[in-house]
Amino acid sequence: MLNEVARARLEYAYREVGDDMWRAILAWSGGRRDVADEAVAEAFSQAARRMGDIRELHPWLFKAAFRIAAGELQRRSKSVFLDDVEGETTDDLTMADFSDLARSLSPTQRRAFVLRDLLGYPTPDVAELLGISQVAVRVHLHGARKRLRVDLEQEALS
Amino acid sequence: VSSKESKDLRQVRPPDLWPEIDRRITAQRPAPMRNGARVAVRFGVAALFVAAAVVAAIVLHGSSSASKDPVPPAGQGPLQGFQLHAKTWVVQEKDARALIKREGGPGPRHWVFLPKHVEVVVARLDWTPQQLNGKRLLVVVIDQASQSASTYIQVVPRIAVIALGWAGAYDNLDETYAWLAPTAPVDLGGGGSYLDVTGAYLRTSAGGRVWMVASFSPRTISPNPSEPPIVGAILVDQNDHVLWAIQVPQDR
Repeated sequence: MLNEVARARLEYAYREVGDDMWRAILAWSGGRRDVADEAVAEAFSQAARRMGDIRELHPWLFKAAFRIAAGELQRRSKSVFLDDVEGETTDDLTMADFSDLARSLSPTQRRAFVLRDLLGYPTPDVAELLGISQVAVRVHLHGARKRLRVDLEQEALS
Repeated sequence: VSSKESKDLRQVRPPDLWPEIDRRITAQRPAPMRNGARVAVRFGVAALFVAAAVVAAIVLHGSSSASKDPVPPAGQGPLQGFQLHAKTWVVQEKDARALIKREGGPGPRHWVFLPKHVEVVVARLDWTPQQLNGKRLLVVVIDQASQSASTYIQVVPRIAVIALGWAGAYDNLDETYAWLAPTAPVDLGGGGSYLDVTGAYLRTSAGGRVWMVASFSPRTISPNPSEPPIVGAILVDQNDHVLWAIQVPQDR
């Protein structure tokens, strides 16, 4: 059973990054609140079982949450980027637009784009949270922005 | 798109999931292994390596039991693909005496000091960081002569990242994980001790090449040059199961 110190540390981490983690998963999954809820809750729950082995808690939590979210989407066998997400998205977020645009991005490109450009994390923080180098973050961001720019231009032309 | 959606995203109010997280944590079963059990397992691992060292010592002395050697050479054994990079030195006797005098150890004649410095590199090209994460590399020094004579043995941990120091093997270095300080040398009894260099590894972006490196300076002084200390390394998983072991060759 998780001791009280570890539990307090975990709750502190949740208060620190839980909201942004939820928003990141929300954006990454195309606005699916249920996926974000499950991914964040399960990531922290799994962290509780592995507290002794986790060295960098925040990056571990983000990576776990993204993986769990990906698994959830796969398990439901309907990718958000292939489905009509209307009715499951948030009312106050135009996620469907982003979902359409981000269809062509790789998972890592989407993660980097969500954290850096949508949530406004500095590049070093994105690198830490995704477990990749800053150079890799910039490469993924460059690729994502370039791809989105092309898609936007094509959409405007059509 | 970015600025508008960023603003929108920031305005979304996430639910408070902590009660649900807390419920899940509370529902978890107690950890299967308590500290006492971990200590017991650790002692078990230590005992296992002592046994391995004994067999290795027999092999060193020309026994025909080589086929039963539980310490496979580099590149063999159940986990193939590991590589070893190790350097050992035997200093001159006069230097050993000077060292003994400086270090304050006992001073019989014919002392040998070895090895001076050892680097153990565990590498497997197709392992991912996730697969290696959580594994622990233990480096071990066993003094064979300790049973018969007073022995001065000292293991000085000196763990360092040597990423740039080996034959260009670290091309495309993507990330260097922080090295944890090794544990204090654990006395195995009978002249042996080991260091626990928990969780030390590097990872690269190209092809998932993963390295686990231990660089240490065991200062072992043996009264009998014909029985040099055995230096080895074992890789264990989270449950202290031995995945791989190797004996550092003695370059004499």
